[in-house]
Amino acid sequence: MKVKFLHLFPNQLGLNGEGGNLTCLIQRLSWAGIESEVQIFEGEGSLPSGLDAIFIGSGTLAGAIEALNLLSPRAKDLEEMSESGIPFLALGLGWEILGSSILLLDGTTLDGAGVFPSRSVRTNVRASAESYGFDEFGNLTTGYANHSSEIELIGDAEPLIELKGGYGNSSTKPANLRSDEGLVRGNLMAARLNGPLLPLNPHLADRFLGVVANRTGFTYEQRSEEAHEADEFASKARSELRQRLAG
Amino acid sequence: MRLSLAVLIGKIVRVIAKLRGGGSAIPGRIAMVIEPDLLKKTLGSLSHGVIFVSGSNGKSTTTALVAGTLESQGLKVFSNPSGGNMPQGIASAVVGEISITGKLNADVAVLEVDEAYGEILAPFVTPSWVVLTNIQIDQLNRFFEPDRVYKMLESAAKTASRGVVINGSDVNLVDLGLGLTNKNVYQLSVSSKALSKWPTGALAAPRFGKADVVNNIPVSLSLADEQDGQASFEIEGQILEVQLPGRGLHFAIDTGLALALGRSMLGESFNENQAAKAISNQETVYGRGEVAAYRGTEIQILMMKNPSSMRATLVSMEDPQTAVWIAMDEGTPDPSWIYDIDLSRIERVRMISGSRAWHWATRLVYAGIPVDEVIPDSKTALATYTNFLAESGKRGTLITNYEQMMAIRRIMGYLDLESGK
Repeated sequence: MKVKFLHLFPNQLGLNGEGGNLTCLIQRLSWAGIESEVQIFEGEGSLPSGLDAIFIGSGTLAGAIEALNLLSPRAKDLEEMSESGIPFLALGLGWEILGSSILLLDGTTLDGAGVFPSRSVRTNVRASAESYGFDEFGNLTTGYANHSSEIELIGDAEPLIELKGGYGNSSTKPANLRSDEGLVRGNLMAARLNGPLLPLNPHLADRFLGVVANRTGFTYEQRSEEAHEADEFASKARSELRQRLAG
Repeated sequence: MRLSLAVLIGKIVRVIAKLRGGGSAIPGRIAMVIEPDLLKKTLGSLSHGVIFVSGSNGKSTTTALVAGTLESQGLKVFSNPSGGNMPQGIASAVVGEISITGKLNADVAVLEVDEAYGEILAPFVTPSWVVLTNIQIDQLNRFFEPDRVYKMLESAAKTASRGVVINGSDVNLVDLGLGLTNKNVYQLSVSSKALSKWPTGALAAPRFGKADVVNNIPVSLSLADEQDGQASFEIEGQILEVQLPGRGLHFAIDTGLALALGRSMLGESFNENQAAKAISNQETVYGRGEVAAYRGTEIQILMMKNPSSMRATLVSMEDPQTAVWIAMDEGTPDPSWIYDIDLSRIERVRMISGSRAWHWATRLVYAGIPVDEVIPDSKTALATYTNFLAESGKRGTLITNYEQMMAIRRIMGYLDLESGK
C-alpha cells in the first residue's frame, strides 16, 4: 500500500518552507513503515484520482492569484473530493484560495475554490510575528504569522488553535482580541502559521495522518526512534518560543 | 560647528563602543541626532559621488569588490564596513574616517545599502551610481513579499544621477532596468554555460502575474564561465581571467558587477587588467568564507541570511562536510526557509547552537543528518567545538546567521566588529 498525496501548486505556493510539511508527513509515515508518494498539480490537465490526501502551501498574493486562476476550472472536482472525505491540509494563502471568497484591497471579490468554509478580506495591515497557542487537546502549538487578511470561519467550522500570543485569523487584531487561528472540520485542516507547521508541531502531523489512515483504511502508529528524537527537539523549539513570548 | 561637534562626540562614543566590543551603529546614531545632515555634508561633495550597492544577497562582497576595483584605478575610496548598511551604520563609518573639521579624504564613496534604506538614504545622499545584485527570497518577516523589495530597489535606482548597473541574470532586475526609461542602465550578462553550473537553479525570486521580458539592456561585460574560483569575462571580444574571492557563481557575478560599474563609470580610462589583479589579491569579506584562528584551531565562517545565501554557501563548500557547526538565534525571526534547502552536502553536524538550535535539530532529523550535540549557549558551544577540533585535527566550518556570527566573534575576542580585524 502507498499513501497518495497531492501537492497543489508547489511552485506558485511554496515560498517559505511549505514543502517541509510534506517532508514531515512522508517521513513520519516512512518511520512507521508506510510508503507514500506525492503527485503535483499546477493547472495542467485534470486532477489525479485515487488520492489519499491533498496539501497546499502559502506564498505571495500574486502567486496565489495565479494558482487560483489555474485552479478555477477544477474547483468543482476539488469540492467533490472534499465531500468524498479526502483530507485537506491548507496553509496561509493556499487556504484563502480554497475558501469561499477573497475580497481584494481594490474592492474586487475573487471566488475561491469553495473547499474550506471560510472567507477572507485582504487588509493593508500586515501581521508579522511569532505566535503560539494550544489545540483542543492542550498541545502547545507555535509558528510564525506573516499575513495580511481577515479570515472568517463559516458555519460549524472551528478554529484549529486557540492563540495566546501573536496573530491568527486576523492580521489586525492580536491574540488577546481575536484568539482563533486556523480551521478544523472533519477532513479539513487549515492554519496560517507559516511554512513548516507540521515538523514543529508533530501533534498536528499525527492528527492529520490519523484522519488519512482512518479514511484510507490503514493503521498509523508512531513509535519510531526518529520521531521520538525529532519530536523532542521540536518540543524544545516550541517551549523556547513560548517562554520568550510569555516573558 | 554642529558637524564638528557631531564628529567629536561620535568619535568618542565609537572608541567606547569598540572597547566594549559591539554596537557599531550607536556612534552614527548619536552623531546624526546632533547633525541630521551629517551624511549630506560629508559625502555630498566627493568628486565621483556616492555609489549604492543593494540587493538581497552579495551586497557586502560586491561593495568590497567595487571599492577594490576603483582603488585599483587610483581613486581614494570610502566604504562602509560589511553589515553596517543602515543610515546610522554608515554614519558610524563616516565618523570613524573623517577629520574633526568634517573633511572626508576620498574621491568616491561605495556604500552597501540595505534594500529598505535605499529610498530612505537617497534624500540625504544622492547616489551617482546604483549597483543592484539580485532580488531573491529574503527576510520575509521584514519584507513580506519579494514584490515589495522590487519597489524599494526601483525607487532607489530612480535616484541615481549617472546610471544603474544590474545583474542581467536576475529577471526581476532586468524588468526593473527596462522600466528605468530615462536612465543609463548597463548589465552584467551571464552566459547560459555559467548559469548551468548552478545546481540549485536560478535563484531569482519568483515573479507571478508579470509579462515576460526581452532583455535588451546594454551589456557592459559578460560572464562566460566560472570554474573553481576562476572566472572568465568577455569584454568587447577580449577575455579577461579573474581569480575570484571564493568558489561559486555568486562570487563571479559580484565580481562582474564591480567590473561593470568600473567600466560604466570610468569609460575609456578604466583599466580592466589592473582591476582583475586587484580583485585577485582581495581578501574575503568577513562571514563570507573568512577563516578565523581561535585557540590553535581554524574555523571557516560562512554566513546564512536566507535560502539563497545558504544554497550558495552549500554549493561552494568543497568536500562533504562532517564537522559543521550551525548557529542561529532569533535574529532570524522566521527560520521556516531552512526546510527549502537541500542539505545533502552536509554529512554530519557536530554542533548546533543559538536559540534556534532546536529548530535546526528538528530539521536535521527530517533530513536524516546525524547531529552530535545541541548546545544553545554560544560560549559553551564554542568551547566544546574548539575542543573537538583540537582533538580531531579537523578544520571547523561555522554556518551562522549574522547575529550569532557577531556574538561568536565577540567571544573569540575580535573587538573591531566593523572591519573584522
